[in-house]
Amino acid sequence: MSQTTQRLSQFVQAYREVVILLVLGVACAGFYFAQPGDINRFLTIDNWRVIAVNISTDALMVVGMTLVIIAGGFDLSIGSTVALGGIIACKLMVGGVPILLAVVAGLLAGALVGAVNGFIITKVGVNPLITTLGTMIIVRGLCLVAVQANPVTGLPPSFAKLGETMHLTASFDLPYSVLLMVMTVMAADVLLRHARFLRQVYYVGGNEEAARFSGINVDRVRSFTYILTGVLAALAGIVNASRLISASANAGERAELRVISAVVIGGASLAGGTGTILGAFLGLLLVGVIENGMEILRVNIYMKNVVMGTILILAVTIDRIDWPMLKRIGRWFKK
Amino acid sequence: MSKALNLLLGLATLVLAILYFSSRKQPEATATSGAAPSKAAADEEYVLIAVSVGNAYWIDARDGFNDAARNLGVQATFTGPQGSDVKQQVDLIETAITRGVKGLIVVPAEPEAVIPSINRAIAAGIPVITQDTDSPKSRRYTFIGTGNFEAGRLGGELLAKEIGGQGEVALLMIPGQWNLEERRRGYEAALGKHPEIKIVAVGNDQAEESQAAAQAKSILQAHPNLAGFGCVDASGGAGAAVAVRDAGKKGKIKIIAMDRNEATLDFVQQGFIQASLAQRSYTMSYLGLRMLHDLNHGRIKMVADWRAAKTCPLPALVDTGAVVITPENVQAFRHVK
Repeated sequence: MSQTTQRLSQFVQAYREVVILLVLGVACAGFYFAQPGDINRFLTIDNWRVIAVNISTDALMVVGMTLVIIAGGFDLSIGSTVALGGIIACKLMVGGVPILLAVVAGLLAGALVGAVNGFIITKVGVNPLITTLGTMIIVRGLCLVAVQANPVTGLPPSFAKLGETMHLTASFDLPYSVLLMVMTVMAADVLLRHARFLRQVYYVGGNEEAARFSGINVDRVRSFTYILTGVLAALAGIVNASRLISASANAGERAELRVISAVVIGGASLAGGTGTILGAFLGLLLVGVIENGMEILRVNIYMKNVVMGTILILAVTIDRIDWPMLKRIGRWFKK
Repeated sequence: MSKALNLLLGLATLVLAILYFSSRKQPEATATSGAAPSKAAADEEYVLIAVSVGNAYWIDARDGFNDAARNLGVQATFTGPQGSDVKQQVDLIETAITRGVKGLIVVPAEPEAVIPSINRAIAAGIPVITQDTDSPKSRRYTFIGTGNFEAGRLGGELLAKEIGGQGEVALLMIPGQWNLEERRRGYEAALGKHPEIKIVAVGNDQAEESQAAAQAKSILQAHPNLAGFGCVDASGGAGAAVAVRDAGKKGKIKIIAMDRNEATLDFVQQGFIQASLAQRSYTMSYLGLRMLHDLNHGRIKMVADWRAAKTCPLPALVDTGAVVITPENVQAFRHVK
């Protein structure tokens, strides 16, 4: 018996992605059969397109955050960087700067936030949680100062097009943001599995000393993860701005919580050294599907937080379940 | 890992196949539901998409919405983002469109950003009304509300009157939240007419009474001659009242609050808050749902078929005004009697 549970927890650890897919399948079946009325509204192409669009910008941040967390770090500042990227790109556009240039400037602003995070964490040696908590507040403040709480509007129509969809066939169209998400997640997943430079994040997060002795520039790898996350967060902000045809100082609110939850559900450990991008993406998809399903089931809005928090806790405990633990729980209940 | 990848691809194909077939079945299902009118009525769902849904402000709006739905025998769902991020709100509008709700009341977190999704709902045949905050450039049919600028202006006038047209005042609000910024502009416009009144501080209460109290206390430390607080959002009133009580300056420092949550009404009754401006949020969502229902069932016959005539029979704007709650009339507004 103890072997079975051990094997089970090993399986969960080794095939995290498969386990999430199974949970996803169960959740989908549940929502499909539980939905009110006679009409199927959950398993439709339209609804899944909405789910995909809804998670598309969070997915960009999930890619960066996975690398940060694998390397043993943490980044709370992404939500604020979403607002910064959107505001800088949009302000420049409205001021007449060519769209491409404005977008690049927005991304550079995100890179700058990441570089500051990386510098303070690796060179000054401040804890990542504290550092990025600080930059989160500073960057949000800068956004508010820059726009004085007025949303940036009047964006060029060709920029707004990016937030729309690409018609593939008469009945099927693919939103650009979803295309961007799929390409980014796939590329990053393959690179993290095979590219030498990216694989270093596992060594840095797994055993920093060993990584240092084997000649890895630990600080550089760490800083890189923060800069990449900053760029991706800014990109998320720019994509959102094109979808909403405006950029505001409170964009990306709570994004850090959603993204970190997804990465952890996807199997990454905050201790560093483990996690995959595919897993984190599936974690995000699971969160997105459950949020959507709860809307369709008309679940009380205040109940949603309880559900989402419970899923997070379940996700991090599932691979710790073994026979001794079950016995402990059993004994506790007998008392 | 390649095993896992194969499994993944297999499952993905399966999901796509299910999606493909299930979406083809849809018209058939619609036909069956048309044959059962009683079930269709239970399936007639209206959604109110608000912002900062944890705020006590929504109690009234939710009550009005639910009461109207109960009278009409339809489903009412209240939803919205926890905070004021308009992206989260737009996601919910899009979800509502695809699940085929019969009508939407949207409280835009920002007027411009909701335009594409509101227009998409209208194009999909779902009538949309904005409440509280308008999105005038969208194709929404009606706006029902007080108008945030107007509410702020009224608050400013009351405050100016209470302090006798002179002195230092402070505002409590959440900087950056669009509707509150509008109200602040209203406050500033009203107070600006009195050259003897000076706004010396704007505190961030983070939509929380304890934060509001802390902010108000700091402001009192910095400005001992303060004559009054203008509370732009619902949480400021109780916070300012706590600060004034702790400073022992009841009645000397005047407070104009916003909305009618119980904490605020308590302080009105005790005389710490001179007046609270309550919007008729119950009336807004009650009327809103009725209007959507009337539209859907062709009960407003300004023209025979308003969809064909491309003329919406609803009024373009409904101003529900504001109620001034004072110690004299506060008892009638309490939820807990």
